[in-house]
Amino acid sequence: MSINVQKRGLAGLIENGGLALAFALFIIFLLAPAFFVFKGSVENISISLVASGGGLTLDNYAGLIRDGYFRYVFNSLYICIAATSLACLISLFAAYGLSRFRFPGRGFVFGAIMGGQFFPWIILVNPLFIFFARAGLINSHLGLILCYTAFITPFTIYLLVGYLTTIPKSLDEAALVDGASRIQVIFLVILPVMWPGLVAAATFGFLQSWSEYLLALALITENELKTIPLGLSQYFGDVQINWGAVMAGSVVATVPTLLLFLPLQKKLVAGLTAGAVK
Amino acid sequence: MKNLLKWTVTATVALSASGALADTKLTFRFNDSEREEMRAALDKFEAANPGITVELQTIAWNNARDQFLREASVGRGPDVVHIAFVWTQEMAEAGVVLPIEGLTRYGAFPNGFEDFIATDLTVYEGQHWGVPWSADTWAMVYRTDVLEAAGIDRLPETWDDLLADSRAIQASTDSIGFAFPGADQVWFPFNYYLWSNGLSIVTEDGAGGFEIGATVEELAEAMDYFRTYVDEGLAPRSILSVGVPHDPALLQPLLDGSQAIAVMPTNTYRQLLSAFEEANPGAEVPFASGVMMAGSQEPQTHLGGRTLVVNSNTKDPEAAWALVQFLTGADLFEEYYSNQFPAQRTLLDQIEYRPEESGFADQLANYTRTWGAYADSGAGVGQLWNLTARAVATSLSGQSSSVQAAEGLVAEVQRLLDN
Amino acid sequence: MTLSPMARDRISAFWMLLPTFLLLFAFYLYPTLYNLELSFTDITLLQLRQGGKNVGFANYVEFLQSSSFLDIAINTVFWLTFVSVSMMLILGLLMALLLNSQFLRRIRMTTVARLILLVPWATPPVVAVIAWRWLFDPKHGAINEFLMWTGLISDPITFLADLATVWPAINTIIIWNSTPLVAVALLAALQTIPEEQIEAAEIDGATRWQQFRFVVLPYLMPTLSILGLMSVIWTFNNFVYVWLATGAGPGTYTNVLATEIYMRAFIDMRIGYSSAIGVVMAVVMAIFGSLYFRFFGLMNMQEKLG
Repeated sequence: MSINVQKRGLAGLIENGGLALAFALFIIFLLAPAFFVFKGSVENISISLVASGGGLTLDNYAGLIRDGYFRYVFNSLYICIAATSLACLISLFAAYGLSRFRFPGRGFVFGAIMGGQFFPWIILVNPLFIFFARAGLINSHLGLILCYTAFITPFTIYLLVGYLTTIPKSLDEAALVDGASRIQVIFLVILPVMWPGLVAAATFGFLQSWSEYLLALALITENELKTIPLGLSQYFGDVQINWGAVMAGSVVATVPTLLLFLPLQKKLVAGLTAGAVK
Repeated sequence: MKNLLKWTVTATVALSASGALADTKLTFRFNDSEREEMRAALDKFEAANPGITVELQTIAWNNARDQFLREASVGRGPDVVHIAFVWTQEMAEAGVVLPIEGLTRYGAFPNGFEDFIATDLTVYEGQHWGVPWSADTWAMVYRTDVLEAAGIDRLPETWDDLLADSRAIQASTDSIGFAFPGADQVWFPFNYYLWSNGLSIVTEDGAGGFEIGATVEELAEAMDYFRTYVDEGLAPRSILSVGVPHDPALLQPLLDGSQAIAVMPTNTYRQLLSAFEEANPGAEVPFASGVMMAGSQEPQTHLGGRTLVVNSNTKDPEAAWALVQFLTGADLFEEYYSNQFPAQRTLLDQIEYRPEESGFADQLANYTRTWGAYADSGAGVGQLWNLTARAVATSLSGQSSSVQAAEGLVAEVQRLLDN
Repeated sequence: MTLSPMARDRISAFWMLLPTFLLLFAFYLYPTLYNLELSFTDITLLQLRQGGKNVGFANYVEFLQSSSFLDIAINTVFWLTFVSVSMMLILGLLMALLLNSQFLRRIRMTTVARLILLVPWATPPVVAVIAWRWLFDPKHGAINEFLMWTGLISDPITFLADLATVWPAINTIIIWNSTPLVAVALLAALQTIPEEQIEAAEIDGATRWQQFRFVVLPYLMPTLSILGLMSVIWTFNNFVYVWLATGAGPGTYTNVLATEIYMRAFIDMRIGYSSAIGVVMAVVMAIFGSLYFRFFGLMNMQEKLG
C-alpha cells in the first residue's frame, strides 16, 4: 500500500508532522534499551549500573576476552547455524511433501506438527535430559544441535509450506516430464526459487535457538562447550553481579545476529511477502 | 547444503571426541566466581598427585541443585560437587552422594571431622554426607557519615532502634535509613526478626516431630514490622521488586550515600567496599558493619555456607576424596580461596578482619545458628524459603493484609510438615 | 510390479516426511507422553532414580482446586497473553504501516527503519529484561527522569513494585522484544497488495479509513491470524520475561502458569505436580488452537494444502 496523493497545505503539514513524531517514537522505543546496554558496556560500571568516574573504556570487553567468552560466541554460532541449516533442510522436504502430494491424514500431520508447540518447553527439560543421557549425548554439541533443530522445525515447516504454495506446480511437473527425480526437482528446480522463503525460515530458527538457556544448561556443563546464554549467566554471581561484563557480553551476544542478518533482511521481507500471505 | 551438513557432522564428531585420557580424570563442579584462583589451586593439586587431572566446571547457583540431581540420577555428573549446606540432606535422600564415614578410610582430616562447623546439616539417617567447606552469614552495614549527619552516635541494637533511627535519618537528612530486599531474599531478615524474638518458621515440637514456631498473629506482626518501612516511605517502594542485597538498586544508594543502613552477606559487603574505594580513591571509607538487631532475645543470623560432596557415581572415590582433602586444607583458603571463610573452627580463629568487617566477624563467631529444624523437618528449605518470601511480599505490597498473608503461610507450611 | 502414480506419491511423501516424524517422535511425542505418565505420580527430583508412586488424578485435583489457581489463570490468559499479544499485533501493524509509508521513503529512511526493527529482535530476552529493569528504575531510570522532567509526575513511579504498573511494565518488555517479528511479517504482507486496488478505491471516493478497512485489512488477515495464533502459543508458554522481570512478584501478583511450573519443578522439585500443570497448559492450548483454526485459519490452511 502506498499513499500516492501528496497532501498539501495544513493537512499535509499535520500528517507529515504526525508521521515524523511517530517515527521518532518508533526509534526511541526500539533503540533506547539497546542504547542503554551499549552505553553500560563501554562505561566503568561495577556492582552498580551507575558509572563511577567519567570516560569510556574497553575494559569490559577486555575482560570478556580474558574469560574466554568468545569461545561461547563461536559455539553458539556453530550450533545455531548447524541447527538452523538442518531444520531448513528437513523442513524443505516436509514442506514439499505436504504441499505437493495428496495422501490420507495430511491435515492430521499438519496439525501434529503445529501441536508439538502446545507443550511448554520448560517442563520437557527433565524428560529430554534423561533421553539424551541414555543416548550418550550429554556434553555434546550434536545433542544440542538436534534439540534446537527439533525446537525450530515446526515453525519453519509452516513458513515453507506457505511459500511453496506460491510456486506453481507446473514448474516441477515440467521437470518430472523431462525425467528428473523428485530429489533433483527439489534441489535443482525448487531450491533456487525458494531462497527468500528459506532465509525467512532461517532467521526465525536462528534467533529462536540463539537465546535458548534451559536446555543448554541441562545438556552442556563442560566449560569449553558452553553457549552464549550460559556464558552470560556466569557473570550473575551468588552475592554479586559483574555488570560491566554482563553489558559487554550482551552487546557481543546481539551483534553477531545483526551482522548475520543485515545482508539478509531484504530477502527476508521478500520471503515473508510470498510465504506468509499467498 | 550437503557439504555444509557433512562438515557439520564431521566437526561435531571431532568436538565430542576430544579430551585426552589420563589415569584418573576427576571433574570438580565449583560455582563461585573465583574460577581463575581455583584453577591455579587445582594445578597445584595435579602437580602433587601425578596421574590425576581435574576438570573445573561451573554452573549458575540457581540451577546447581537441580542439575546435579538430574545428572546423578542417570549415573553421571561431576565427581566432587560444591553445594549449599542445606542441600546436603536432600542429596543424601536422593542417594546421589557417598557417606563421609565410608570415605574417611582413604584418609582423615588433620583436625578431625569434629573441627568442621554446621555438620548437623550433613546428617541423614545417622551418617554424614558432605564436608562443610566455606561458611558465611549476613550482618548489618552502615554508612557512618550519614549516621553522623543525622546525629546518631551509636549503632542501633534492636529492631525498634533501627526503626527509630530510620525515621530520624529520613527526617533530618536527604537520605533514607534502612532498606532491604523486599522480594526473594527478604527470607533472611524476616527469619532474623523471628529468631531474635524467640520464634521461627519451623521448630522441633519436643516429641521428635516438627511444628510451626510462630502463631499467625506473631507472623503477621513480623510482617507488619517490615511493612512499616514501605508504608511510611522509610524505604523506597522499589525494594518490592528487589530480590537480592546485591541488586544495583540497593548498592547504588549505599555508594552515593543516599541510604544509611543495609543488610547483606560478607562478600557483597566486600564488593561494596572495593567499589567505593575504586570510585573515591584515597577517600576515607565511610562504612562500618555491625551485628544483627536484637528483639526480645539476642540477635541471630543463619550460619550459611557450602558443602563439598562426592558423587556416588564417581569411578575413583579415593582420588575424589584426595581432592576433597586438598580443598579443605588451610593452604587453599590462605592462597587461593581467600575471599571465603573456611568452615573449620581452627581455621576460622586464624582469620584477620579489616576494621570495617568487625561486625561480620562478631556475627559469625557469636550470633549464628544453622537452619537446623528447617532442614531436618523434610519440608525442604527451598520450599519454605519460597513460600515465606512470597507471603511477606504479598503483605509488603498490599496485595493482602499481613494477617491474611500469615494465615496463608501457616496453612502451606503445615501442609508441608504433614506430608 | 508397477505402482500407480498415487501410490508412488504416497511413498515419496512418506520418505520426505520421515525425518520430521523422527524429530517429532523423539523431541515432542516421547517427552510429552513421558510427562503425561509422570503427571499421575508423586515423583520428585529426589526420586528420579527409584520413581514415584501412582497417585491417579491427585496432582490435577490439587492444582485445579488450589486457592491460587484462579489468579494464575487470569494472569496468564488476560495479562500475559491477551494484553501482550493484542498490543503486539496493533503496534506491529502500526509499525508496518509506518515502515511502508511514503513519508519514510521521501526522507529516505526505509532501510534505516528496517535495521532498527532488527535490534530488539536480535536481543536475547535476558538482555532485554536487564535493560528495561534499569530503564524502569525509580531513581536512575530514564523513564522516570523523563516523566519528572516533563512535569507529568512529581514522584517517581516504581514500575515493577507497584501493583498498578507491574503488569503494563512486563507487557512493555514482551512487546519490545516480540513486536519486530510481527511488524516484519505484516510489512511483507502489505507489500503484496497491488497498488491498483488502492488507487481504484481512492477513485471510488473511499476515505482513508475505508481504504484500510476494506482493501488493506483483508490482505493482512491471513498473516494476522497466523501471527496471532503463534504469538499466543509462544507468549502463553513463556516464563522468561515474567521470571526475570519480577520473579512472579511482588509476592505472587504476577504469577503465571509457566512460572508456577518453574517454581513447582525447580524450587519445590515436585516433578509429578508440575508435569500435571504442563499437561493442563497443553490441553488449554490445544483447545484454543483448534477453535482458532475453526474460526480463522482452517480455510486458509486448506487453501495452502490444496
